[in-house]
Amino acid sequence: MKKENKNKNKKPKLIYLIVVLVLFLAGLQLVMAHCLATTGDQMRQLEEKADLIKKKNQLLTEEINKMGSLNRVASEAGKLGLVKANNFLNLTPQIPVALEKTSINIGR
Amino acid sequence: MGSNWRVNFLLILFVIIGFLVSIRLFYWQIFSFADLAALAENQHWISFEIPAKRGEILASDEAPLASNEEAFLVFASLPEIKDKVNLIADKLAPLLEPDNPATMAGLIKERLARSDLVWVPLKHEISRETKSEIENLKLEGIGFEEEQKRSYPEGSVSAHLLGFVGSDINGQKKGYFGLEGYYDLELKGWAGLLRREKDASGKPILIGEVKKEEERDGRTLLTTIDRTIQYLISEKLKQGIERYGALSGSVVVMEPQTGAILGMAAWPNYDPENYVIFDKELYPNPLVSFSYEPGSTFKVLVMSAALNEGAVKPETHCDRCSGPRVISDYTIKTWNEKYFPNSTMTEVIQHSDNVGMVFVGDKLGKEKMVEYLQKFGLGQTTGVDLEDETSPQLRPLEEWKQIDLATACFGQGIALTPLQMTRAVAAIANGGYLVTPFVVQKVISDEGTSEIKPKIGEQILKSATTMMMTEMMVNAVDNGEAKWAKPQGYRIAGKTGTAQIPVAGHYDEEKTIASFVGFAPADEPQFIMLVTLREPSSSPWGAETAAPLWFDIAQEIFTYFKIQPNS
Repeated sequence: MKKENKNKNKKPKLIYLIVVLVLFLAGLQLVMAHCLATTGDQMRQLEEKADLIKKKNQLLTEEINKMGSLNRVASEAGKLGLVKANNFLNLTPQIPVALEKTSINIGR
Repeated sequence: MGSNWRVNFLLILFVIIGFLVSIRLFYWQIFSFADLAALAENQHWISFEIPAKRGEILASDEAPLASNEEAFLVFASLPEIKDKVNLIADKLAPLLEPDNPATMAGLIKERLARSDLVWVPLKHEISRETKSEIENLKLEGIGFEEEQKRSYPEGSVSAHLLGFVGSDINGQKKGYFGLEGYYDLELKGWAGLLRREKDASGKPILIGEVKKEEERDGRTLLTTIDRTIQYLISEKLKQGIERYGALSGSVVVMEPQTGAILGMAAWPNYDPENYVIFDKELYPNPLVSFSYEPGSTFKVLVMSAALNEGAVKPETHCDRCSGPRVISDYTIKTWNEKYFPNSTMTEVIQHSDNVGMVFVGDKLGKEKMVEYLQKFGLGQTTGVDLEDETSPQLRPLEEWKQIDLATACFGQGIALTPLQMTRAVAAIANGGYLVTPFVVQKVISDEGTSEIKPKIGEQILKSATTMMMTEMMVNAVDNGEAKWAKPQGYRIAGKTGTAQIPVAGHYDEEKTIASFVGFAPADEPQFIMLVTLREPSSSPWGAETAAPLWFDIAQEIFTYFKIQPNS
């Protein structure tokens, strides 16, 4: 009679344990799913940011290429009134560009 | 008895059904395995192509000559289309094809009316600005997909050199002509593939398997092209053609010691970004794919051969130069019908004396002449890394008649490409070596950089010969017909040429190809340049058209290279 009572007392405990375990696992899954979802979202945001920067970089490169084109440089120079130099002075080795000074007299 | 019959019948029926099922399974698993596996693969996996970026083409200062630009594909998702087809076509056509909206509208209507498709492309490579304009129309079912477009920042300046990117028969991008064509495999790279497991509705399974084959971007080409020289020759050529009323023209500038091409321009040219609107005949590069009779510029090659063989010396006197020569019923005259009896070989080059050159040809002989033409690389392509190079055939030795030898001595009756001519004269400038012209000096990829070294061929002329020939060419510039245009203070070795154009079996008296080939400074050449003008109308003579243009460009190059005059 006592043994039967003991068994009866054990069963609800086991059920409680299982329920607690299920609840714990459900909670754990919830937390995990939440973490996964938010990390995924963060990752997506970072990827989008990287894509945006890459695109911006490409657009800037395209602009540099266009701005640096000699056609454009020549036309801009023309607009600014720059003209081609036609007279050049060639400095030959016989004519020294600068002479070495041996002494400096200041104020005399 | 009755029950036994039924049991046996069922047994046989099960055996037959089992046999049929086994056969069917055998068929599916053995014969149809590949098809069914592919079907299953399609049902389980979703694939995305990751396009590879086409490699850039850079000038020697690493500025891009060919690059990539962001562009968009406009498409229509037919089930989502709400507006009337005509309305959509009328709104889109002027934005997609401003030059020809009617044709574009027709094409859009035709595509939107397709009932067998759910997705149709409308136009490739539209700009960001056009995309914004289309978005503002707020048309349902019209979408965009990002793609890359080839761009050429320097415009048409290097069109013949670079070529362009079009599509092959499968709609895949492919380079044609010039560097884009020659280096297409290196430039295009390999597209990558992203494969993800998908669910029954076709959406990717987040925790499913992902397979990725990385894309490999195309390799970048670093060329020997000097952007300033390229721009300079292109502009000067355009002006020169206008000034002298020529039909077309070309200029090539090369480093004679290595064969590195510094600039290459031809006019008329085309815009490689919009190549479709130009005549197809403009696509090939005339400097490597069109042949011409060089005329008197060719005399320097024949004279070099004769000097090298010891057949003549610069001071050898021509004893048959007092009048026209008659060879096989043909009378050979000088260009101005002036004759210089007893002139030296230096004077023969200076006066561009056809009769004097026939004398040289006689001394050299047919066999040696053909041998030297082969040594100068005639009859074979130069090996330049440009797709459209061709070479006219060199007549075999046994087919050479006396008159062929005579006319070849002054550059008629023999054809070559402008680059072949430049390469041959470069041998005089560099001490006698035949070089292989090249445009790309480095191929750059993620794995590393591979350098393309200059190919210096065998020595075809003795060093002494090249020095003698250089002096003769310097004398021709200083005292010849074009001396008035020469920049003062520089030693320039060069030769003018005026070749008549063969038309229907005879030479047209009016039509000429004027040219000038030369190198400078003569003692330490930094560049060799060939200028050709087809049918100049202001004057047919090279000395009055191509030579002044050559000197005009050379003067600018002297300043750019900081080459000082000698006096």
